[in-house]
Amino acid sequence: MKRTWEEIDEKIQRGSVVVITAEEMTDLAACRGVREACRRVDVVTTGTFSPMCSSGVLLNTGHHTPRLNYRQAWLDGVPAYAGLAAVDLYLGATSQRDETGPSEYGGGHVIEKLVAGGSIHLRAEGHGTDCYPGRSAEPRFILDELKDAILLNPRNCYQNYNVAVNAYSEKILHTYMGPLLPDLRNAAYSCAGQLSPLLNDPEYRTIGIGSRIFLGGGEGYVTFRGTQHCPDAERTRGGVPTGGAGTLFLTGDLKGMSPEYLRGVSIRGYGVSLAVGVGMAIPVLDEEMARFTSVSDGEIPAPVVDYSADYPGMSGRVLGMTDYGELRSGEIILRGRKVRTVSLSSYAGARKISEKLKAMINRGSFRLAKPSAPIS
Amino acid sequence: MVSRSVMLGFPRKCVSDPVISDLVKGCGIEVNILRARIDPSEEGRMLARLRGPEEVIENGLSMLRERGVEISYPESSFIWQEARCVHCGACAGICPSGAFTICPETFMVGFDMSGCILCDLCIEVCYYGAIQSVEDYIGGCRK
Ligand code: SF4
Ligand code: SF4
Repeated sequence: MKRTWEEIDEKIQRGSVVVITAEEMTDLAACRGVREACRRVDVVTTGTFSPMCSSGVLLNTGHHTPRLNYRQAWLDGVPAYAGLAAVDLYLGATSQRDETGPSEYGGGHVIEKLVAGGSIHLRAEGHGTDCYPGRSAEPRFILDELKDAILLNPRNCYQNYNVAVNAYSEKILHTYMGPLLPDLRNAAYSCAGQLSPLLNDPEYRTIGIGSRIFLGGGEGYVTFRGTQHCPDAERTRGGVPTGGAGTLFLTGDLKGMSPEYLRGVSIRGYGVSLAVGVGMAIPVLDEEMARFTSVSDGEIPAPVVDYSADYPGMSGRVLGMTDYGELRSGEIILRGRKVRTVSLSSYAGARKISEKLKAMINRGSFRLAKPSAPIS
Repeated sequence: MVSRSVMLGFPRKCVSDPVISDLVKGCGIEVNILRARIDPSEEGRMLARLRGPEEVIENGLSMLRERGVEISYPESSFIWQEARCVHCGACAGICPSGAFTICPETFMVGFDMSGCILCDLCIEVCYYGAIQSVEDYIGGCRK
């Protein structure tokens, strides 16, 4: 049984496509078998909602009178990167208002505020040259007044990730994985498991450069492989990476996104970031794709890593392996002891996105786009 | 049997009064002291979880009040703004008392203050500013 991208697209246009979420696909394949699931289902939707630090916005404010070439800029006091053409700025999600230490407000919050329609204060400075005589400006603007606002995330959707614990330190560790209690008292993870986009297409057969996606409540695209993309990571026999592997570079128009799916976060003792909601639709082209999309939490391994010494020291050591079935049960067994798990990624949010994308495809308002090149 | 978390404030005059042992021995209430700072020369504060039949706890609390102990309920220590909650479950994963829980079917987080022991771990673990200390909430420290 095979189907083509074109056949699926035609079905979407005719309104006869069969689309289910990755969770429903897991259940369907478990009770009817992969072959039958493949026969019945055209498209499987996935989702994830989690802090993704390598995110940001590229803004173009339009020109000033007299002309000003931004050399330094702050948005609501948060430093943005101005080493681009005259009135282009890049604001990274982890840029902080208070540069002296971890802060409560930063790039992620400015992005959330922008997309929520809030008014942002820009302070920009230039050198004053013959063609760009301006030296400074302090305008306020809202999203609609910007010429361009493009979400530009160089590393999102990590395909699998560490489970963080504190094995050796006697103090609470304040990490980007949240507080880690001494003596292995908790384990933090951040992955939507069976709902996660790249875990439903582990070999990047359908997600590639040019894939259209649900991004931050609007529409976006996979524009390239993400930074640190590592397709050669070790895998299970089913093809699932046993630790961090693929990543995606995502882009989309901020105008049209929603603060429901772009949320500034502040992580005590670490800094700030942006939680991003992403959803991808995976065409069930053949039985292999049906098998991939029916992956269950129990089949996705996750490495447990110590964040008191091994992670900061780059030791590469893995304390043990667990899987997302156990993680989501609330408890894992580590060194013969029960350890409570803490999720940083919102499974409820991932599920909501997969449902939303399913509804959009059913309505015909979201069309799949075949990649123009693979990301590997 | 009910369990209730209370914050007890001891003015200087009753710091040396053995009110807690009277609560345990005299009233038969189980007292679990979660946090305390009491210095005989100053005022003291104690966060405790009381367990016992409801009327017995009520009687015990009136006894404390009569002896000058100020009683407040830790409901006021932080605020959960459900509208800002993304249901990541991080608070439920760290909450030692079961006040924050995650539903195994919907993966939505629920909150029941009655068991809270005011450890404040949930405030730290919530990246989304959905759990804020009253001071921050009132002070509007978040934009
Ligand atoms: S940690 Fe915050 S956002 Fe996450 S479930 Fe708890 S209250 Fe909601
Ligand atoms: S302060 Fe928060 S984490 Fe601590 S017991 Fe209360 S609800 Fe749970």
